[in-house]
Amino acid sequence: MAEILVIALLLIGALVILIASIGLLRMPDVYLRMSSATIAATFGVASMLLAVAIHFGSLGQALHVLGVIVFLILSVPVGSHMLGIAAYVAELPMWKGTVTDQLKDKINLETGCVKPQREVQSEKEEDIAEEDEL
Amino acid sequence: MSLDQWILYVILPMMALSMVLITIRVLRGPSLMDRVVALDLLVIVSIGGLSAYAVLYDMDVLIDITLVLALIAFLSSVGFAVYHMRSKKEKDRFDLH
Repeated sequence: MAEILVIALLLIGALVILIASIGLLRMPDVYLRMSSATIAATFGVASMLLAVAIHFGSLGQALHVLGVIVFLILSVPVGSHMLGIAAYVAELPMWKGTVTDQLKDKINLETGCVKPQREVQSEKEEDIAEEDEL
Repeated sequence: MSLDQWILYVILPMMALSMVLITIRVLRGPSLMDRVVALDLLVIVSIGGLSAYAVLYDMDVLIDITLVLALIAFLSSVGFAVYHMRSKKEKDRFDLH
């Protein structure tokens, strides 16, 4: 019974990772590649590590594996968020089918920090005022 | 099929195939950021491969190695992101295009 569960979890994890790598190869721009890599890698590796915990079956190893899973779930999104900000600051091109760019005008392209809300507001007002003058 | 055969004939080849696909992206990637994302995913896939090995050979020592690899992947991607942003800033400051 435990063996079937281990096989199933390993198989799910390997499939998800395979899909993630196909996505990494086929997606059109950096940001989409990053999303496919992050989501799938977190889920797939967590499932494979869970299979290891079930296979060994002792509390010590299970806690070890749980620590690795929690660390992965915490760290992979943070790391890929930072990579995404760096890619945005480097002004890498987006896919031509992209519909919205929610970070537009909201991020300082020199430091990579998000601008405070009132600064964004005042810039908008300045833009409107300039348009009125024209 | 038994557990060993499943791992040897199905799961490890799938991991190897995904590693090959990621390596193609590392070699091809148009920008530096593509390569870094692909290398980050390569380390994480190798964590999965190590866990399959740990089940195959009953070696619980490999779990510790997965923890170390996860730590290294996180640190390297964050370090690269910070370095990349800072290098752009320096370039702008000294006008070295």
